[in-house]
Formats: sequence, C-alpha cells, structure tokens
Amino acid sequence: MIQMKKMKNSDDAVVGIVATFLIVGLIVTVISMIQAVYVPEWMEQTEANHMEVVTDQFSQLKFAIDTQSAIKEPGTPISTSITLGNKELPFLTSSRAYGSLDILSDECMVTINDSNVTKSKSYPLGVIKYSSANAYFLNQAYICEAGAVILSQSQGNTMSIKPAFSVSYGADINISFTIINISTIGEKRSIGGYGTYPIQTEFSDNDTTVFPDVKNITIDTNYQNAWQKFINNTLINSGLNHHSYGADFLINVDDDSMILKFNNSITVNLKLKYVKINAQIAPGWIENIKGGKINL
Amino acid sequence: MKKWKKNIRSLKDSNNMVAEIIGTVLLLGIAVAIFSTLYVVVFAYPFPTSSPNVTLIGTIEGSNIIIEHHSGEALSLDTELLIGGPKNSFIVRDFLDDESKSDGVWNIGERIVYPFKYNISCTHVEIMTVDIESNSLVLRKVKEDTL
Repeated sequence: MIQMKKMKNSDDAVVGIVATFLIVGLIVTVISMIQAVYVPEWMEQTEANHMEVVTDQFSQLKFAIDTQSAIKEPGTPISTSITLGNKELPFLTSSRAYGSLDILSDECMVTINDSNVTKSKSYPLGVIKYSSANAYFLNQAYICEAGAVILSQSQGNTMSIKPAFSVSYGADINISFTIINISTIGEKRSIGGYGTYPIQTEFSDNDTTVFPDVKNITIDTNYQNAWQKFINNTLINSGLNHHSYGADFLINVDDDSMILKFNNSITVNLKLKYVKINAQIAPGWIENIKGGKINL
Repeated sequence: MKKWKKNIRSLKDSNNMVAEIIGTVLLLGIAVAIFSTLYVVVFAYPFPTSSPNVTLIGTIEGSNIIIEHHSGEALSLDTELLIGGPKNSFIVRDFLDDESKSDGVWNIGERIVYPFKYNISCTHVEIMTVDIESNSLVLRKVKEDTL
C-alpha cells in the first residue's frame, strides 16, 4: 500500500514517457506527410516511366512486324514482350498499375476509291492494343494499327511511329502504302495484369495491288486525329497543296473515319501492299495457315 | 460521510500541485500556439509542384521549328518557349493554332510552329521549353548547323 502511494507520487520516468510520445507523434507526422505528398509523386513518376517502357516495347513489336513484312518468311515467329503494369511501393500504401493487351479484329478499315467511284476495295484490319489502368498517371493506350503505332490519351491521340507511307511527286503522284492486318489463331488474343507477357508474331500472307487514278482513301479508325495530321504533313512535305490548302487534296474527319480526297486535276497512283501477320499473346506457338488450313 | 467531507475540504484548501497544473496548462498553450503559427505559416505556401511528365519532340522542318506534344500531361498555354537564349522568350499560346488552343491547354498531338530565317553567322540554335507552374525545364534541345 505504501509502495503504491510512493509510486503515485513519484515523478520518475515521466520524461521518458513524454519523449516517447513526442517521438511517436513525430514519426506518425513524417509518415503521414510522405504518404500524402511524396508517395503520389513517386508513383506517378513510376507509372510515367512504365509508359516509356511500353513505348520502347511497342517499337520492338513494330520492328518485328516490319522485319517479317520485309522478309516474307512464313514459319518464323518472332517474340517480343509487353509489360502490362508495375508493382506498388513496399511498406507504404500505394496502388498497383494494371494493363491489358488485346488483339482486336476488324478495328480499322482502309478503303480505296478510284476515278470510277462505284468501284472500291476495302481492307478490314486487325490491331494490337495495349490499355493502361494507371492509378496516378494519366491512362494511355498504344495501338499497332495498319502498320502505325498510335498513342492515345483521353485528350487526343498522335502517331507514335509512322506507317510505311511514302509519296513521290512528279508528273503523276505515286503513293506507296503498306498496311498490316493483325489476325490471331485460337483464343490467345487478350490478357490483363501487371507482369511482362510475350507476344508472338508471324508472317502469314501478302498481296500488292496498284490502284491507278485514286480519288479517295478512307481510313475507318478510332484515331482520326493521328491519321489526319500524319497524312496531311506527309503530303504537304512532299509538295502537295503547295499553293493553297485544297489545291491538290482535302482531308475530312468525322466521328469514325478520315477521308483523303484528291482533286480531279491531279492523277494519283497508289501501290498498296497488304501484309497479314498472325499474332498470339502469352506463351505458346503459332501455326502457319496455308490455304485456310492449319499446317501442323 | 463526515470523513469524506473532511477530505474534500482539505483538498479544496490545499495548494499542492497548483504549480504543476498551471505549468502544464501554460506548456500546452505554448505548444498549441507554436503549432498553430507553424501550420498557418507553412501550409500557406503551396507544396512545390513536380515537373510534369510530358514528352515533347523538337524538329526543324524547312524554315520552321516544330515542337510537338508527343505524350503525357497537358501543359498550360502560358508555357514559356526560349529560342536562342533568354532574350527570345515567347509563350506557347502565341504559336499554337486556334483549334489547338480551344481546349485551353497544350495537349497531345498539338504542334508549335515557329518560323525562323536562316542566318549564316548562326551555326546552332538552342530551344528550351519551361513549364511555368512547376518552373521546370521540359525540353532543351541544341540543334547544330541549322541556321
């Protein structure tokens, strides 16, 4: 009883307790500050860096597809990889970034009209699309479409890597355009998560058609702005519309297509190379198709 | 009951612990005052904004310097453009077309076109783009043997 009374009246260890409370308070304050201010900054930077990695990986994918288009060698799959997301910070509270990779068929279509407007030819094209689901940085999508790599954000889109589209301006205007159709065999056409997954591509088929006296080229796409700016700049840099806008060509854009119209005063010959590439996401293999049958 | 009342009376008449209580109250008051002052002073200033995550690409096409917003966050129309040093300072708003300016920001796919004249005495040009909000450099490019 006496000892209890002594302990109650004693001031021993008060400083230690107060100091402990202060240190705990300080630590909690610092961690809260880091969590509220710095973690979002770090994570935004990490996610932005991851998007740079995806840019690089799509360059590799485009390189593989272009190489296969050039060598036209069936039965030689090339594997590249795409990192879908990134992990959260250890210890501190942060969100993981996810992404998805899809092979989408008939997402884009290129239609050519010659001087006889009733005669047109359409090429439905498949695309490879990566979509990010970021928690801090703005969401982006990379689309490998008709031989181009397009970067799309909520506010717009732009051509990240240009397609094989060249213009020669002489007595006639000769345009060479290589379009890539991405198709897939089987069900390996979509994946989601945050890891790194391979995507295999293989040359399947090609066809070259020369269209004389082309009047319209229509690209049905979700990324009209990227195509419009790319084609407009390419044609202007080749010398067209030199006198005034509309002298040689006009570009009309609507909700789901971009239409390039050439004036009747000029003759445009289009050499269209159509290349079919088979693609497959995730580990596995691709069977080559010949004559519509799987060649095992 | 009587004992209890006596105890209360003696406690009321006692001056024990008064100094400690006053001291604690004063210390608490000082601590609250200092933290309030610090809070008002420190939080009145905005935290420093980090540089925007943006990719700009600078090229020269003919007699135009082209700077294209290639990816990332939208930039303010007041973003500063320095061409050939701090004396040639412009803002992005002056060189974007009307369609690009309509959304109030410099966004993906939009290009600045800055016309220049070739000068034989100049062998290089330095192009800098400064984000005003974070006061940070978002593009620095030195193009040799162009002007």
